[in-house]
Parts: sequence; structure tokens; C-alpha cells
Amino acid sequence: MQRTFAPLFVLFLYLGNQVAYSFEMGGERFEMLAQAKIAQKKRKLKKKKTPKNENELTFAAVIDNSHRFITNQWIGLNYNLDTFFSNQYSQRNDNRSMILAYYGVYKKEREDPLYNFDLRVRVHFPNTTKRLKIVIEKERDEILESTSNMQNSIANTAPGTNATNSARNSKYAAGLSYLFPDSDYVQTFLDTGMRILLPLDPYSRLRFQREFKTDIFNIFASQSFILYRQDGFSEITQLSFYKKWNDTFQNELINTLSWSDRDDTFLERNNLNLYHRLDDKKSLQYSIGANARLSPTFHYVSYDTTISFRQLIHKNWLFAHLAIGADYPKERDFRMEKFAMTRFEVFFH
Amino acid sequence: MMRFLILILTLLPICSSAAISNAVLLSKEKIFFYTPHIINQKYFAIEFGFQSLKKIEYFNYPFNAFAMAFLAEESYTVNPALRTGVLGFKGGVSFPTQPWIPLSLIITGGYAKTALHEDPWFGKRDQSVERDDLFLIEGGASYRYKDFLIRYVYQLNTVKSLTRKSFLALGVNF
Repeated sequence: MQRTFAPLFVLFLYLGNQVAYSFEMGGERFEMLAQAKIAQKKRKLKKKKTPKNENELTFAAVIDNSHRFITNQWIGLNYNLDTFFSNQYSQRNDNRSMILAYYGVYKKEREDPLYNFDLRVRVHFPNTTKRLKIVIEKERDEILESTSNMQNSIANTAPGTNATNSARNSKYAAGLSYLFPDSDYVQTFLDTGMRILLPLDPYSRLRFQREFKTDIFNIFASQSFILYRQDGFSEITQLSFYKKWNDTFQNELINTLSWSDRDDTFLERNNLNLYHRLDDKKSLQYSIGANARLSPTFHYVSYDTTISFRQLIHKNWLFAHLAIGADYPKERDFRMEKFAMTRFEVFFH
Repeated sequence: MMRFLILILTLLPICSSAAISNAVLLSKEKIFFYTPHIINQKYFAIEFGFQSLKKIEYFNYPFNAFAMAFLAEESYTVNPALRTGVLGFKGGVSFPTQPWIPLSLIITGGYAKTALHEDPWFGKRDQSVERDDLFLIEGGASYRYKDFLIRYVYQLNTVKSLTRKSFLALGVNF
């Protein structure tokens, strides 16, 4: 027993002596010791963490610098060419040139996966085209957008993703836009122009739209008449109901009726979406839809359901998108056909 | 490619910095070129655009830069019933070769949409035999008399159905 306590007693005396000595030094030494210990800890932390942090920073910096370099080169090239030819200066930041690179995999049940890598570029010469007296802009494929379930579910998942959709579906067109004077009753837009492709494809689009705001939900109604020389006449009628519950959830019910001269068929789509904003960088979309034809009699041709997740992975240029869902086509007796899609997008803009 | 380089390299050395005056440069804003089928067999082109005055300050060497929208058509040599239509844009520079004669070296790059079709302008898109993107470079010379221009260019492009290389065009600066 004595043997056990003897070393502890000696240790206690030693520590007591140290404490007493420290107090004798007026606490100064104690403080210095404490500071030295803190500094030592910091050094240890630095020794341990600095190499890891440096590596992480270096890797991230290389990626960011490469992205910044490509973006600057592309926008700079467009800006410089525009300024060179037009002799007119504008804000470099206003240049809307862009590169979109994406890689996606789409897998449907009983079908081989589709791998898709593509690179899309947008050139923007505002002053040059102004001096050439033409307006060059991207035009959207309204019929495709109004009837496609996946397109809609992918496109509207998060803010900023419309650029992706328009980059995928649109073609360049030269033309004129006329914005009618604002009216309290209805907004009217008229576009006429020519797609930049051959054989020539002049077009004219007339759109009326109005938004009704109520305490319960908002109603958006629009009517478009589209005439392309190549595709013929088409019309799209849309009636949508929106409800923003809070900053996290938003509902919309979109009802679209479209007709195209090409197949001389009325198509109807009912689409119910719930947008779920997880945070500034992540969002979910739950979507169910039904597609119908009006001839020879009103009948549904397919149903679909999708859950899609979209996340901004890095800064404002690297997106990831994951969607799973199922189609229920009539030709398969409305049996479920599952699908999954993943996609990575890199924007240089 | 060799012909293109020879043409450029022949004209380039005589582009001297010896006090190029504005008299040999294009002065008015708009330019228009017509490549007539009478001179260029089975081919025609119309180009319309604008020019701007530029200067290499270091050499005190002024020159013109231009941007144009253009359309062209060439009969397909393999099948006379088919024609290739071209619709697109060009941009380039025009370097005066010396101070006395308004002869300029022209270098141009361009992009266009093309369609090989029986009627490439007003036909149906689905009936196109081929639709391609066209990238082109041109090198040549232009001579200016008052506001009128005569231009020869040698063209390299990426579309197989466009086989013609040399083009003679008439133009006006207004």
C-alpha cells in the first residue's frame, strides 16, 4: 500500500512545488508557459494540416484557374472580335458568349444506356450584328418544350437551368422582334425573322399572355401562334396555376394544348410539379404528367412521373443532375418503364 | 492550301509601312460584293456588310476590317440537278499593299450553313441531300477604283460539294 502511494506522493510534491514556484514568479512565468504551449499547439496543427490544405487549395485553384482561363479566353475572343470589326465598345461583362460542356447517361428499362457528351458554344457579337442591321438570337422550340415531359422536368429544376434547355433545343435565328406597347389587359409579342439555315425558313410568332394574381394562387394564360415555312403552322394554348407556399416549396399545374400542321393532331399535356428548394445550391422536383391526343377521340397516350435532383457542385459553373422516373405508354398497356438519368454540366460564361 | 499560302506570301512582303495614306483605304461604311455567275461558272454569291478603319500604331499602318453576311450558290459538279446553297457570315481584314496603288491584300474567315438540294433556297428541308456547317478561309487581293472594287480570292472550305476555289467579284463601297 505504502509502495503504491509513495510515487504518487512524490509526484504530488513535485507538482505542488511547480505551482508554488509559478505563483512566486507572479504568474508571469505561468502565462509565458501557457502562451508557449498554445504556440506549440498551433505549430503542431500547422505541421499537420498545412500540407493537406495546400494540396486541396492547389487542386481547387488549378480547376478554378483553368475554368477562369477558358471563360476569359472565350469571352475575350468574342468581345475582341466584336470590337475589332464594329469599332464600337461595350462592357466586356455584357458579352453573353458561353460554352456548355455536358456529359449525361440515360438508361431506360430493357434498353441500352445512352451516353451523351456534347459541347455547345454560343457566340455573341452585339455591336457587329447591330451594325449589320440584324438581330441574331437563339430561338426556342416551343412545340418540343410544350409536349416533352423529360425536357420540362429537366429544364425547370433549378434557376439558371433554362440556359441548358435552350442551348440544347434552340437554333440561331436572325430576325426582328416587336414588343407591343404595354397593356393592362394582355401582353403581346411579335417576332419575325429567318432561321440561319438552308433551305430558307422564315418564321413569324405571335404570343398573347396574361398573368392573374390572386390571394390563393397565380394564373398564367398564354396563346401562341407560330408559323414556320418549313414546319407549317402550329399553335400552343397554355393555362397554368402557380402557388408559392414558402421559400422551400412551390407548386405548379401546367395545362398545355398544342396543334401542329405537321401531324395535324391536337396534343394535350397536364403536368403537376412540386419544386422543393433544399438550399441555395440544391433542389428537387417531383413531377407527374399525362399526355393525351384529341383525335379520333380524347384519349390518354402516356403518363409519366419523375423525381429529379439538381445540385450546384462548385461555384456557379458545375452542375450535377440526377433524375429517376417512369413512363407508362399506352402501346405497352400503360405498364411501367423505369428510367434514370444523370448529367454533369460545366458552364463557361 | 499551297496556292493559298503562296498567294498570301507573295502579297504580304509588299505590305510596307511606308506612309500608307487614307486614299488607298476604304472610306465609306457599307460594302457590297457580287460574284456573278457570268464570270464564275455555275457559281454566284452576294455579300453585304460594313467596314471599319483600323491601325497598327506601332508601324503607323492603317488597314480595313470588315464583317459581312453572305449567300452563295454553286451547282454540284457530280449531279447537275443539285445545287449547294450557302448562308452565313464572314469577317476579315484588308491590308493596303503600298501607298500609291489601291491594291489590298485580303484575308477572310467565315462560317455558314449549307444545303445540297434541288432547290436549296425554297425547297423542303427534309428533301436536302446533305446539310453541313461550312468553315472557310479566303486569301486574295482587291483593287479599288473610286468607290468600286474588284476582288479576287482563293477559298478553302470544309464542304465537299463546294469545289470551286477561285472567285472574282465586283463590289461597291457606299
